[in-house]
Amino acid sequence: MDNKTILLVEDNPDDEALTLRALKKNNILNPVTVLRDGAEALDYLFCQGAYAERDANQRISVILLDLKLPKIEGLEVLKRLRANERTRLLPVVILTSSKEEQDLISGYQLGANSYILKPVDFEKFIEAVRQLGLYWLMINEPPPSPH
Amino acid sequence: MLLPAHLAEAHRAHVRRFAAEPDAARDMNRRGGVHGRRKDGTEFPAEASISKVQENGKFQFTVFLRDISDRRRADAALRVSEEKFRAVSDTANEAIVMANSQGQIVYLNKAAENAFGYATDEAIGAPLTILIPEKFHSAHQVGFQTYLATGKARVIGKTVELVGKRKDGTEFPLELSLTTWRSTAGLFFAGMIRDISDRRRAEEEIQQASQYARSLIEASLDPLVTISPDGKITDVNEGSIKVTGVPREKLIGTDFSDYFTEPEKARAGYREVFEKGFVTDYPLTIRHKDGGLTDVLYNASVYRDAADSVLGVFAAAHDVTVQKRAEEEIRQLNVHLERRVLERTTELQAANQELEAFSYSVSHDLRAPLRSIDGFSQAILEDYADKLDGQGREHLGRVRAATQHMGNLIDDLIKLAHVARAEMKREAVDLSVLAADVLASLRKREPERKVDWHIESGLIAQGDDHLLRVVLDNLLGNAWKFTGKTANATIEFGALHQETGRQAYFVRDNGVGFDMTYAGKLFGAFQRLHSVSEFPGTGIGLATVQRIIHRHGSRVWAESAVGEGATFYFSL
Repeated sequence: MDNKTILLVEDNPDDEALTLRALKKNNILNPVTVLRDGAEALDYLFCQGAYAERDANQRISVILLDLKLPKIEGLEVLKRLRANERTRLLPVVILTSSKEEQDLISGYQLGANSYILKPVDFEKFIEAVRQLGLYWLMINEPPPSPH
Repeated sequence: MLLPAHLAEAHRAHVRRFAAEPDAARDMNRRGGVHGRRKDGTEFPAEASISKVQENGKFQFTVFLRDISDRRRADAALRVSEEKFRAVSDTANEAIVMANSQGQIVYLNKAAENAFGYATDEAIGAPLTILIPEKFHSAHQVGFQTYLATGKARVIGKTVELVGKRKDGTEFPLELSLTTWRSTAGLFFAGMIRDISDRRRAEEEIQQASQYARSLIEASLDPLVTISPDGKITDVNEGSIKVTGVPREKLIGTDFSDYFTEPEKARAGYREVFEKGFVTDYPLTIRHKDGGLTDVLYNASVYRDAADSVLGVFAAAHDVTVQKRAEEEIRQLNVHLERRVLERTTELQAANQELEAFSYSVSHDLRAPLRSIDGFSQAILEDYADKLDGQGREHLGRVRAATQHMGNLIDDLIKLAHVARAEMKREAVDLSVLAADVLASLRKREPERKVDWHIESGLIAQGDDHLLRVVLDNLLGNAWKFTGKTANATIEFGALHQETGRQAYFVRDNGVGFDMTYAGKLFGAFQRLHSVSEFPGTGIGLATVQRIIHRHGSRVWAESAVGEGATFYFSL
């Protein structure tokens, strides 16, 4: 496994810690970049604002995107990603505690690649992350970098 | 020579007798007809007078003879004429009475005898007034005298209706045609009299019948009219007069269609009656001459004469203004109601949106801290296992169990909220298949459990597939759960017919059952009849079931006894 970055867009520090722990528990050692809200995530992805200097060639393996985010919501982030030529093909996994159908449907309509429910039971969460890692980091070949 | 031969002997006897008499002259016709003989032998009637003169002891007779053939012929003709008249007048159906200028009856025929009851010899010479009721005597006298004085009369040369009196005093209506003539014998009157009792009776009957018909027509408050085949009004009742404001005589003869807001539609209406024979509930609006409008429904049919040809149309209008007004009120109320429903719907939609936002928040935000509690408890258990004793691990175990329970509560609450507002479909759902599916998944979850089940096959209900699955999930799940401590656990799913005709479905188990005293609490949210340590649960399942069944317009109920299992019914 190469060191492609995992992008975690999550505003809840507890969930962030638990997600990182779950990744670690599953021996997923890719670097993880955590972004705390939708606006920051877009700045990062489009190399703008505070991230204007970021190396656009840095490869991103998967974006773990929470739905309820400050400033710009998860689904809006997804929409803008899909609308942009550079980020159009990035794998996006919606990672949320919402079971609401509407979220599910909107998520897929906007082009989410997967949808993972964060269960209350941490052990189940670890299992979910394990499967996520298996698929997106090992099996699925990420799209080639535009550069 | 001048006498017919057969009279010769009589002549000689007569001459001898006359010579012996002292009279000097006599009218020979006194004793019978005198006849002469012409040279050619033909005879003729004659009038003769004779005188005698004695001279030298001899009598000389002078005879004046006049040929009276012409007079005889005239007399015979008169007799024939009189006989003819008598024959005609006696066979006439009409009574004929003749009177002279003194007002005396001089002649009456057979019909007159029959009509008045007098024989000819009783009536001849009697005053005309015997044929007239007393109350008309003075009028008769005045008329009679006036005519005699002035030659003017109301009744001469005309046919008038009067009243006659019979011999027995009874009176009868009669029709009189009176004529008068003057002859050498003076002024005469002849009356042709027809007893019109029968005709009067028939007329009265017709009048009564028509009065009956009219009273029927007038008894109707609804406007009634009769219309001729060319669309003209031939009769109306008071109702028609009222509704149009036009008097009867101005209505009759005018065009039926003139009195409607839509004359063409009215014409089409009565054309239809002539074509089909009738129309029913034909809507029209009558316009009062003052502009007021009356909405009516017409029922009309043709009426025919005895020969079955159409005489016209009888049309009855039923005033539906009140009905229309009521309908309009209902419509207004409906509009109002719809507006209110719309308002309420909008409010409800707002409330629903709020609820949706709320449950969205609940599902997102309430779970997050639970995940932290559980996750970090797990982290402690893993990372600090060596620093914890059994008690500490047990405490953390309880923390984790409690978070699980809270998580389930949140899930169930969201489900409950979801069934309350989910879109509902109505389709045929095979409950038998659903039940088998649910039980199979329960068995999968706890393969070590020994549970017998019986499912009646082919139970098809109308409802929402997804929601009915939630119902069976809960009811069969409960049955599964509450037979957990029963030796020969049996679960049954079936149907029974109710008196209402609705099918009732049931889930029966032989588990712990419950005390019916608390049956009322069964379907309330968070209500439980067993402790969590006995049987786990959130107390939301049956509340969810009830909500779904209610949304189907049906009901759910239960029967049980402690230790004897429970049966849950729902109708659909």
